[in-house]
Amino acid sequence: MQTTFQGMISALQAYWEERGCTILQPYHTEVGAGTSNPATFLRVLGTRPWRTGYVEPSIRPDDGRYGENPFRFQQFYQYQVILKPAPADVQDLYLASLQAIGIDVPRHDVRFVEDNWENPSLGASGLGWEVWMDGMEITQFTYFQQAGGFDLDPISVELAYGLERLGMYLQGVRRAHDMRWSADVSWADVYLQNGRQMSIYNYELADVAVHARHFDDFEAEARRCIDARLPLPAYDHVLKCSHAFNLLDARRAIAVTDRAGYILRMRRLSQAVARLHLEVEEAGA
Amino acid sequence: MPDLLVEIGCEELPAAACRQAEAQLPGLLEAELHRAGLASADRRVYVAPRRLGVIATGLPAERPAERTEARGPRSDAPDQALAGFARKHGLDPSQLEHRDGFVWAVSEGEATPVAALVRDIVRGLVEGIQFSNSMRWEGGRFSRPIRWLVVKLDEDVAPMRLAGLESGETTFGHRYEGGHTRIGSAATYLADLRAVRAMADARERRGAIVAGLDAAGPWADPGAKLEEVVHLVEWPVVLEGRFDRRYLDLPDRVVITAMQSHQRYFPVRAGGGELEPRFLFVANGGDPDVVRAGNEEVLVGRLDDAAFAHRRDLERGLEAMVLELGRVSFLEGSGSIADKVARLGPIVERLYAGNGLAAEVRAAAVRAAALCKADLVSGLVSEFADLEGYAGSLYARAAGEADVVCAAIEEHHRPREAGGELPASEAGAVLAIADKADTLAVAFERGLEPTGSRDPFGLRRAAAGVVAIALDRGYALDPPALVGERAAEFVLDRLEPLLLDEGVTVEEVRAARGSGALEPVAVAGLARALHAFAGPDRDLVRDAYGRCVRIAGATPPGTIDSSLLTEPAERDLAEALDHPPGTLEQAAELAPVVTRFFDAVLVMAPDEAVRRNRLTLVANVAAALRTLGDFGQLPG
Repeated sequence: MQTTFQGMISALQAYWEERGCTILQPYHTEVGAGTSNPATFLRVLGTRPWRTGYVEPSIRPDDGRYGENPFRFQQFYQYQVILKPAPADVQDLYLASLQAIGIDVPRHDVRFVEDNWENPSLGASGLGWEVWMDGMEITQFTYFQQAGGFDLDPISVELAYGLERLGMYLQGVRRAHDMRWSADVSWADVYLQNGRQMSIYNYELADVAVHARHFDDFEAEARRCIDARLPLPAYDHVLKCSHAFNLLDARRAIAVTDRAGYILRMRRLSQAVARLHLEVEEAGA
Repeated sequence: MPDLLVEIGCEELPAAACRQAEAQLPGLLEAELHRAGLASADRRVYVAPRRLGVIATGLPAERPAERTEARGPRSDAPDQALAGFARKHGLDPSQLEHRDGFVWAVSEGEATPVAALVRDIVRGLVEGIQFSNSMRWEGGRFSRPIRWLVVKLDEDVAPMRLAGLESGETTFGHRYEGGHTRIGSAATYLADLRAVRAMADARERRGAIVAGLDAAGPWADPGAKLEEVVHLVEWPVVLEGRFDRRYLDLPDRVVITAMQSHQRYFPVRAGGGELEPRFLFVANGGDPDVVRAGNEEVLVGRLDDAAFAHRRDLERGLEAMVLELGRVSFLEGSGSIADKVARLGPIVERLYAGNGLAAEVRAAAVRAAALCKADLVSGLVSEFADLEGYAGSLYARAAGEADVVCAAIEEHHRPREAGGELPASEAGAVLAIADKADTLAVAFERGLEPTGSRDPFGLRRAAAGVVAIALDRGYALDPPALVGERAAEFVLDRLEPLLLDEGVTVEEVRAARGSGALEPVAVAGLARALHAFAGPDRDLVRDAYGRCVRIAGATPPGTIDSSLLTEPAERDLAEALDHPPGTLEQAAELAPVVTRFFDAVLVMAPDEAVRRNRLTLVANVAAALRTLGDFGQLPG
């Protein structure tokens, strides 16, 4: 298998483009997953059909391993697909996309294993699976049921591919570091320093007091935007809250029993943003 | 005698949903057949991830006609009335029968072919299953989307629409190795599916899996994953993977957790009980070498994570972790975990003092209290949340702490779920209560108590744990002092499900709570005693108590003026109360004294002082009985 990381991404883009998806680019603000990108969170609300595919760098400070672990990084890439409404043959479409990037599906043990997804800070939940290939989770496959606390109708389906895992498999390497990004540049060339430096920052250096304050400030700013009936800037500040929370979490500044309070604050904001977005969309329609 | 076959073809159902379907479908099928008025020779249910199969054999070809009779007006009623009645039943007045002075509309009915009844049966099955979790899609609501529907009576398709689908006879076998095929009939169902590499029968899959595992070696399944795995595959293939022996330097429990949690692999132990550097797993097809290599990579990745975390944790040491707890906050704005840890020691001391427990364990429990939260900041717990408590005990042992301290650290999270394993050691039990009590006290003080179904801090589980351990150990707790007044009620409320499991009734629990006792073991003792005492004697006490409560009304208990006691029956009762009943047996002895009192004495005496004295006496009886339970809660 001779594909590069960027070649694999191009193949996925082409596959979903051919199936009517609008191909977007990553969002500009840190998100923990492609779901948080407004192209998913806001677009799955309401009744307008929507099909999109995009790469999303997912920033998860607590997953960093100083660049030492072959599978775990504080930033990894997802390929995110949203099909709204979910087509009846979506499982087949998905499996064909694996073929399209060079996986000979019948030679593998590819299975759909229950995984009910919930993002309490977004008031979002869905039912579906994590897709296993030979015991390795390669995709999160979810029928969204709720976002921002609203029951969704129609139901959207989300496919979130774990690109590093797929890339490592396709290139037959055991460490992400050894993956070829392009013909002559490796993943380590691009991201090893990121893994090292960001892990030090996330785990050791990030100023807990500063980020705790940021959380409060971004929350207040989101509120002001909501009061001004501007859901998009309000939502950007919800995302900033979420990243501040993730940093505090990585610094072990949030106890298991303390999470709920922070999450509730973010959920309240997300719900207000979702409601406002629906109102604004309806008024504009 | 047609055979009915229904296959509800789904996208992969979760294992839990499969088990729910397995449990519910036989009863649902029986109920639907009964509702349709159809007898059957045999009924079978087959559950697999992508299909729910239901078979009912030997159905009648039709539901026989049923004769119905409706009585109308009197025969001599005006013609208009008779005509109206006949019309209502679709008859001509001349078709009405005259009997017993009335007219009757008699219908012989019509036989209904079974095909016409099948639709409602299938709909009843699909709509009748209660999944703990179901989803909506454009076709309806089910555990996962329904994508095909096979409904056949013998060789014929029974046409119907459901979930946006037309019934047919095409099914889908193994996703990659089977393709689609036609189901012949109920009789060929399992064989037709086997030909496309799907075992519809869960028993067959379980058998194949167990045989495969047995053939590979002495496997273990401490996390009870087998039942889940049965519903994760339609064509099970047991494979063996290997890993480098050096990972066995990790504690067994860590290695096993890396295998079983999430991945559902089965560890293999050698004759002497030690783990072997291999694991067994169940695949659903694929090229065995490719599949094995992939799974080995995954496990090695998890073991690497575990080894990395374990090594770093050991380098850091438990004491260093304890020092980090000041940075970890506890509940929102309720200080840090370090603050919590500082409170635990004194709570443990109080629990010891309150129960007169042996002093030698006390120091160990206090030491464990200081260390028990340290693993919250360990790498191992952040990798494998299941290891919380165990990781702490591991690092405590490495730091040279005593066994009893290590055990208490490990056990203080128990019980992890309702009915779960309780702490085995005394220090563990005391620390477990102290930890949960502190969480409850702080949460209620800060207004974070559960509302409706929302319990984000797991307070119900914490309260249930406190009660379960106290009952198990017979510890006397003082809930208001331990957790505060409101949380005390909340804690005592958790007694109910525990006692119901023992067979005690809701009324008995409420009666025991109504005694005013606040000590969980005492309340449970009263409830169990009330339950054991159910019968005529208890009814006598209940009636005597009820009479006293009714007649005493608002009169409070108080001191009796014995000079005003004139009747023998009231003197008897007053004397009997000199030794208030301490048991239900004694209460039963008191009951006839009460009855004689009411029979012989006029409580509402004309003299006000006598009347008040007698009312007070009655109120005293009620109060004395009430210490054994609020008998008014018991069914009459």
